Amino acid sequence: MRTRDNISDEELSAFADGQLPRRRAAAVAAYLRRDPSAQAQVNAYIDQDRLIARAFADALEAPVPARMQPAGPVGDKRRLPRSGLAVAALLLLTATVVFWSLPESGQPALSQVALDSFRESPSVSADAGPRPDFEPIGFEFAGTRMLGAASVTEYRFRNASGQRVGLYVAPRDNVDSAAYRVLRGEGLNVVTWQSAGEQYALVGEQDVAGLTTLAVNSRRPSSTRPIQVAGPDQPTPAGAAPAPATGPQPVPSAEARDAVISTVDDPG
Amino acid sequence: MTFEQRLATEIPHLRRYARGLCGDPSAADDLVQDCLERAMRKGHLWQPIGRLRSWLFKLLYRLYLNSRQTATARRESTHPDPARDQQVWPTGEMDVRCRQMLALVDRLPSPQRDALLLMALEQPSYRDAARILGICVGTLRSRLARGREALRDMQEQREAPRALRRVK
Repeated sequence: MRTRDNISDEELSAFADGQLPRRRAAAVAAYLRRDPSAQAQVNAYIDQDRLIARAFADALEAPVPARMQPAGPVGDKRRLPRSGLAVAALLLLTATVVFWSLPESGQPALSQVALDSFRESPSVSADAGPRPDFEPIGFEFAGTRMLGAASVTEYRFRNASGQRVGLYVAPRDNVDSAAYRVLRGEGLNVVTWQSAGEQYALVGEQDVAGLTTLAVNSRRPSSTRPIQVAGPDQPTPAGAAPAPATGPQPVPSAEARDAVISTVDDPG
Repeated sequence: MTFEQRLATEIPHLRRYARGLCGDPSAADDLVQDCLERAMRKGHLWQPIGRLRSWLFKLLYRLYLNSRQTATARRESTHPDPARDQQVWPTGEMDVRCRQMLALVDRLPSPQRDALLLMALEQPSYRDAARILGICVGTLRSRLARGREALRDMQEQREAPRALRRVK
């Protein structure tokens, strides 16, 4: 719609948004000084925006639900993927296929071992000895044990709000892959990856996003406190060379982020 | 700052726009969570030279459009949670005006409403806003102008009966 002086409603709207080029904005401003009705029109636009923004002012201050925190706690179990039951069934089928398509040297897949162990044993004894340090990501060591039949070392961690995660480490001779595999289980999720001749599985009740974030962060060097393996009674002195790592190895953050690949449950 | 940390700082903005789009807070939070999960999975596609917020808003808006289409295909009601009507609103004059404005915004055609909410809440550049909404800048300008004029008309119609009552 054109108005007087070839100033359109679109330009008045863009003027209210401060999105006109400087020269055109000066022309519109000059026009507004001459035309009170156009001035009222722009004021009305600005007032509309102000009222809308005010109506949602509290949304910026509202506490973020825990389920939304990228490194946050328990996922929302009441929701299924939006795509519906067909996708859910497909995911379940795919997850099952992947679970059973990852045999390692005739042994059960690490992810399956991890899921079974995490499900069957709520806790394990807190043995002394080297272990991955998850404190930089908010989890304290809660126990470790060997799962003899599968040559898997299990580490348990717990955070301040009582959430548990389990890290399972097993040797692997194959070529390393930077990819993360994200598997959705019933009530539990698993993230697996490989690094430095080891394979890892991180299991927890967190949603996929939260658990993947924990996995990525556990491999990421912290600027103040590098993740390394240390015995509980023999902390590594400041400035000393880090102990040989048997847990997750730090990788450059960009590499870690690029490596976040869900190979199983990507309905999108 | 890590990708995940940057993601976390954008959550309040995502929730605010999602509330504008969805109406009720619960549906908005579901939409934001879908968006965050998608962002985590597609994080490797984000170019650090781009603005993370624009990228996230684009993801959010696409998910919103998809969910709306799905709801339409299933003939589900897209009306917000009926419980929304039970919300306790503040009674101050300004708050009443805000509520009335939102009611009018809800009567706009969706494309105009979505564009207007985005500009009012986030004030992105027209270029960013057009990218988020998946339209060209000219279309965005047109939608904003028509939406604002429609709002102004509705406001005037609402005011008119009051003025008549005052004359009597």
